Amino acid sequence: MRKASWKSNMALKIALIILSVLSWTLCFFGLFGTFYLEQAEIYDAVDEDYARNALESRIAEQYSIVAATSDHYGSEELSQTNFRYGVIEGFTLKEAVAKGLFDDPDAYAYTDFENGIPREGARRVHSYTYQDDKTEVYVPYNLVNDGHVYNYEYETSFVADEEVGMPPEEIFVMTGDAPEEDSVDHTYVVDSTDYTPVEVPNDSQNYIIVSTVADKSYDYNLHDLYNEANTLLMVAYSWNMKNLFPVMAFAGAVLALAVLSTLLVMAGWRREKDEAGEQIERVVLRRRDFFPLDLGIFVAWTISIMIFGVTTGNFFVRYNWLDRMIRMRYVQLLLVLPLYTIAWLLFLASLMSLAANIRYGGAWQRTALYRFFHWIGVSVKRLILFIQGKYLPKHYREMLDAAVEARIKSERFQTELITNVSHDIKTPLTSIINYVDLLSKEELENEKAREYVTVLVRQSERLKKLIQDLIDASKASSGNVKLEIERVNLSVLLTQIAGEYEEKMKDAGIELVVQKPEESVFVDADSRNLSRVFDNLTENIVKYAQRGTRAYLDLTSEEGKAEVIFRNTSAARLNITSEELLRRFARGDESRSTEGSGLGLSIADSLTKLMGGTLTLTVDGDLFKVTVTFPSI
Amino acid sequence: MSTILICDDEPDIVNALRIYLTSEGYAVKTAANGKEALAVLSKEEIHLVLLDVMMPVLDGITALSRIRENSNVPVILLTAKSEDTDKILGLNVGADDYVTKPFNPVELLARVKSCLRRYLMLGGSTDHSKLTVAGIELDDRSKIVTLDGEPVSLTPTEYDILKLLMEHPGKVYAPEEIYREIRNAPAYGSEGMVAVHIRHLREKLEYDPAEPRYLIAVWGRGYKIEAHSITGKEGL
Repeated sequence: MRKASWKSNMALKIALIILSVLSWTLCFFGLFGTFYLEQAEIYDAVDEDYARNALESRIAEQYSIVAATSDHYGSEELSQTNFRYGVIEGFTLKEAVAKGLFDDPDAYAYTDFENGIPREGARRVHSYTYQDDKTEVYVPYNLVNDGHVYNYEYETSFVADEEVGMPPEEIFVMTGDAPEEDSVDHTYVVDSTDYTPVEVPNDSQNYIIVSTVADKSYDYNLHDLYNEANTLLMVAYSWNMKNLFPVMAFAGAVLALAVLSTLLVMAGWRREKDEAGEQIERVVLRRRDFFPLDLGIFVAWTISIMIFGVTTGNFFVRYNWLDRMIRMRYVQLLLVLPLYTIAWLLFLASLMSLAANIRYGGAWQRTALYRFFHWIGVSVKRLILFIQGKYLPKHYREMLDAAVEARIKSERFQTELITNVSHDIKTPLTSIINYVDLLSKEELENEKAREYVTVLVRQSERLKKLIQDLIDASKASSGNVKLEIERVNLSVLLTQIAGEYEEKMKDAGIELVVQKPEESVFVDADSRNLSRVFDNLTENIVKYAQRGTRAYLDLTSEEGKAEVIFRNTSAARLNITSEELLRRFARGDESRSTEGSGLGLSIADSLTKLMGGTLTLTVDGDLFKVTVTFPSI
Repeated sequence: MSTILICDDEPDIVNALRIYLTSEGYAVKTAANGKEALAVLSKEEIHLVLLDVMMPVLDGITALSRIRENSNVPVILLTAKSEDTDKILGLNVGADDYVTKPFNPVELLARVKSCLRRYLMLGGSTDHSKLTVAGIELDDRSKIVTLDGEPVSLTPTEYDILKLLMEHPGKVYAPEEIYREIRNAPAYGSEGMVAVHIRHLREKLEYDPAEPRYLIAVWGRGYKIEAHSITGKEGL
């Protein structure tokens, strides 16, 4: 079980770290900005509508909105919200005159108010007029104030900036379409204090009537109100700037959530090849990986969810259209609440893991929560594997598991077989060899019987050798060999081997030529098993090389590898491929009759592989060449 | 006349061994398992035990450890398992020698003889001119080498090599070193002859030259002589 190194997924991890830092920077700057703005009371003014509403409510505090006029004028539409039109576009009286707002002879004003309501029988007076460029405004002579009718001459005029003695509370405004019988294009709001008229867009279908109430302060100045509105609106128009902060916080929170999720998922699995080396990746949530996510990461998760919630809330509050589209409470319920829940579960899990690790020393894997997160990790990983097309359906997995298990079983069986076969086969073999030996010592009368016994002696010895080779071959091929890897002097080893075989070579009529460099060549190997490899290969030369030829044993060392090359001319025709030769019991057909088990090369190959070397076989006509390569020191 | 206890659960093997040993003039007692062997040992006077390792009721290793509690009778283990661990275990528990199945009758008889000789001639010669390793005895004055009392004829070079090795049992000599020691000259690549001489020596001194017990090749390093060795040519 290899521990995943930090270096794996390096790019991803670096990206995650950068993203993480970025997200948290965004979050905190965003939140800071947002809260700062809120503190400065400008925060709320980020939206034009909002500003107007705020202004409206401010006005409403000081003025009574003549709601009753609704009935009076028969308009159902009259409401507070319409007031805004009277506020936004404001002009001073001078400006109004200059702009020719009073051009319209059909503008009306009412004079007779009581508590903001036009009295019964109040006269509708003709509106202001002006002539040429004079800044004179003509007002009706019979304005009524406070129950007292001021009888101004019809032609009386005043200059806008001058005090004309009109009691402030008398001022009123008339806007809108001409009541009942008449209609006007413009509506105005005029303040009694400074006579500031306010134009209402022509397309307004509604009446707005503002009046002061007697008991309220007279200090009110519509112009101030206008200014305030303007300030607010200024802020409102630049809402993009102001909204940058909440957007930053929101984006940061989303990013942080994504990064944390990725981290959690990454921690939630590890790659693991199963015993048989199949390409199945199993998913296990490792405590070691999971543990560093403790507290810190879950707290971070929780905070990021909170920011996420707050900022989403902000958006919904701020943008009516959004709120209208998706009700905030649904968002809270469906999105933020589950995220909160997960965050707290994770937080709880981390605490539990901490507690369990302290208390039980890692036994927290048994907890239900651990299994829950394990399951999440597994599912995510499986999903990814599935997308990658690597995930096997359950029944395939079961089949594969069964196959792997069978293989392990058979390997175990093979190991046991090797151990037991020694006893179970060798015991009867011992008897055979012994009794054949005893028989050969008996003085047999029969010539044929003696001949047969000779065959028995020879063949039982051969059987003994064969069985030993077979056991060795199984051991070597199943890796049941204890290796003691040490530094081995190949030069000395080859001298020893060559010495062991000198006479056998001579008997077989083969000249063995050993060629090796002057310096000793060292490799890391198990000397006994390495000698067995060379032993088998030399034995092969004795058995299968053509009489009267030379065989070569070369030792070379270059570029970090040591090579031992055995070369000989085969006595029999090699009608077999090198792959086949390495198989157990393989011998060239022509060589069948020769003594030997056919296991020598297979054993040599297995042992070489076990010791980390390679054995290659080359057959070129009658030239038989075996190269054993080891990394040299 | 020595009495030998054969302990094996395979009657045929016991019988064959009985035939071999009685033909050599030994008295033979038999037992089918470790428990029976212990019973025989407590009743009879036994000079040597041939003990199988894998047996029912009581296995050879356990039986051996029981025997060693109150007896130093020579024990030769008959083992079918040629595992190194079994040999080490057996020798550690107190076996004097071991023979792996299927064994060569001649080899077995030689081991029996050797073991008995050492057991019965306790102490042996303390002559300093004599070098003794296991059954090999080298008398430097008479230049005679004996194996289990039988004289062995060696060439002068073989004798020199054997003497060098026997002077320091267990020490590994590189072929070049051996050459230098016996010829008093550097090898210059002719150390190959050492391996040939070693092989000749082995043929003369080992019962099974293919599986040497005393003249051990330490592959890649050299040769040594070992009184009791579990390392041999058998690599697996």
